[in-house]
Amino acid sequence: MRGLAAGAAARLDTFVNEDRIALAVTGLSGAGKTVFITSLVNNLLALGRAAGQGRDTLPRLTAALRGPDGASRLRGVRVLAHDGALPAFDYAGKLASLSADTPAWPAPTRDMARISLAIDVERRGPLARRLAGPRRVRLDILDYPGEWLLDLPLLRHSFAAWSAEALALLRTPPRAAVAAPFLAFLAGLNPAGPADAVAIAQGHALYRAALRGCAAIGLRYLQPGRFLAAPAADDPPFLAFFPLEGRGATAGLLAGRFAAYQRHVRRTFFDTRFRRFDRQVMLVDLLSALHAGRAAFEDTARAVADIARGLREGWGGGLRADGLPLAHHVPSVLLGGRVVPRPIGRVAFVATKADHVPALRRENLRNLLRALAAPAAGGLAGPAVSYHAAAAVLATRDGTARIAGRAAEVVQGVVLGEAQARAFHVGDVPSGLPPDSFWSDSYFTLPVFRPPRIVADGSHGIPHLGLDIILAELIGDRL
Amino acid sequence: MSPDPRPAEPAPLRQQAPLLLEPEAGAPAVIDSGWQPPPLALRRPARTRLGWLAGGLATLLASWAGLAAITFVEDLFQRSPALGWAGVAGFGAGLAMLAVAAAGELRAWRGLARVDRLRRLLAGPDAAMPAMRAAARDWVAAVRPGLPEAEAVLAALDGAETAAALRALLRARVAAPLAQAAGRVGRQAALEGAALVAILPHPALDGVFAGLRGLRVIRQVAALYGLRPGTLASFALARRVVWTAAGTAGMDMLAQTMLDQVMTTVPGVRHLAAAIPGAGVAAVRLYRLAGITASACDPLPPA
Repeated sequence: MRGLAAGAAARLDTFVNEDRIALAVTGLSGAGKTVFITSLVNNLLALGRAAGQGRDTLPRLTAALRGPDGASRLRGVRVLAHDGALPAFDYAGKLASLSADTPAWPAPTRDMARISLAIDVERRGPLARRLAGPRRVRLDILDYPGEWLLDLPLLRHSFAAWSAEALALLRTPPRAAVAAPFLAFLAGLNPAGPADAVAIAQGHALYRAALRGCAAIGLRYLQPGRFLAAPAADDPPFLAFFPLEGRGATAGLLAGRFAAYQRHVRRTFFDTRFRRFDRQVMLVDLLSALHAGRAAFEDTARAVADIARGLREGWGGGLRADGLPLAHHVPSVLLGGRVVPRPIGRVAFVATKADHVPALRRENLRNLLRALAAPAAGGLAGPAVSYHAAAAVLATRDGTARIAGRAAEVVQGVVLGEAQARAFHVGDVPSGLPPDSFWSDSYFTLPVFRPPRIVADGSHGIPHLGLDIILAELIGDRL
Repeated sequence: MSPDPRPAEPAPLRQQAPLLLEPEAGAPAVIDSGWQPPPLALRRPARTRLGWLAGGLATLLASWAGLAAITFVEDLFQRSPALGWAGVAGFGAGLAMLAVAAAGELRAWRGLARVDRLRRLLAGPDAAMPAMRAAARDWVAAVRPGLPEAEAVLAALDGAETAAALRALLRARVAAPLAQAAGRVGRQAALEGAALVAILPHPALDGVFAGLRGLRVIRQVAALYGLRPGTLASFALARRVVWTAAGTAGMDMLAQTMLDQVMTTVPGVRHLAAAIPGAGVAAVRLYRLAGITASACDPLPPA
């Protein structure tokens, strides 16, 4: 009886005092999700330390939390115990890497992970503050690979349509060179012939290798996203498919596996996870793509646009994810225990590594990201979308240097593995889609700068660029 | 053919090309981005629900007592007019005393509010000088009994042209003497505390005594700062002292330093502390409380 009463009291407390925000953080490979989440958590914790010890590590968020008398309404921030429903985000381990004597960038996460924070704030308005006391905002931060978002458009395609599109893309340079073994294999495969398990396994392995080869040269529009992970022994059999044009037994078997994969994605991600997110951060390493050449950039641009479209449609922009109107889900949800879809509140597209760009050109980076994502993300009623250029960990400082006899804006940082700071001139960052004249044959790998010194006890937060603006934009309205 | 005197134009820079330059001589090994987030200004905790509970109970009690009194007096009048008037006189006297007490509490609350207002004003820019000077004058007038130089300070206030000058004047000629007086209160309380711990029959009573004497220290120091708190305002002030203590923890709360200070500045405590376990701790607590209360009552921002 006492247990029942305690449970009821806890539920009542949650109902009255707790507001839950599911903030999903994702990005294409190498965009910096892990560092972003680590910095975000660390700076929030530094902001909400015990009375009198907090530091204003996130000024724009602090402004959103400011009461009429100018004092902060924030009462504290703490990490909540992990409930075990999803793998835990290893915050302590990531912070240890960053704050070590020889700082290093933490190892990236490969799968879905979650960390939950409780942000205690005073209610707005003197009456509510006095009568109802503080309230709690539970911030669930979910980390998942951005490539999974590229699978959402697959949900609307038939196998034949997807195959035609995927193969057409694969036959264009620079993909064609990387995918040559797979394309040669396809040339010798008869779609109408009997389904040969060995040949299908070989085709799947070659297709997967082709996708991973494309990723290695900087391409990002790669479907299905789950094929980019290394093959595992416990991969379900339906994963073993590849695009194939034509009709027949082999094509039919592959189509069946494709449909099973669609059901799997819908069941394990789209219906059960994706629909629960109500705030989303999409990280894009636009600078690396810009410097990796025209093909890589255009591929990234296509991936960003497709993800933006997927975000808009998937969150109830009025379109359909599985061939049925979104409203169709509701009765089945109520009857079948599935997740009730709810509209996404806000989406932030973030061009990362903005600390590689001098202050004067950061706005260009933001505008470039907007130019890529806005046509797909906007236009229909849906989430509020914002665009940012940010660095979750500030590893450089602005400066000037003489290049070819002229003063140029640069950033200065210590390249990982070196002992002295160097100046980096990022070159032109176009503020919109680059014209043809922009591209040259040069290929440049962005330098990796050493992380700054970070106070290990977390009391001073982690230096960043624009993290506070992103957070204020995403969750400021709910604090 | 004479040489062209114009300097040669530098080669046009191919702007779009990214470039990682070689390190310059003497380039630093660590990049300092100047990251130094300032401390966050928190609001003092809002009134708790316990406060509202107490207020509600007090209101219910007062309503019940008031209605019961009216009914009682009516009943007395029905029995005899003389008895009725006697009842009115008795209740009237009681109400008058309550009103006097309430007025005292109200004055005390206004005193606390005045400190808050002056604190806000003194943290402001030069533009707020007239209001700042008027509020400072009010404060000096309130602390006049404990300030021998009050008249001279009031005259000097008019000469302060900037906020910084005004703050410096108040700090040197008002806050410093008041802090010294608070120190004297603390030392006296420390000596009493040590002595009483020595004669108390049971160690469990130490805490009770420390609480009661502590409340008196708060009231004494608050009176020095012109607050003269009543009973209820004393509790409000005690909460403020707790908040101030939390804010200054770690800065001057080094127990050993404080203990040494008390031992050397309060005659007698050293001997009592050596002879009686707990006497030194009680003395240090009371001495420290006086200092924290002075900080809580001082409207000047930290130097």
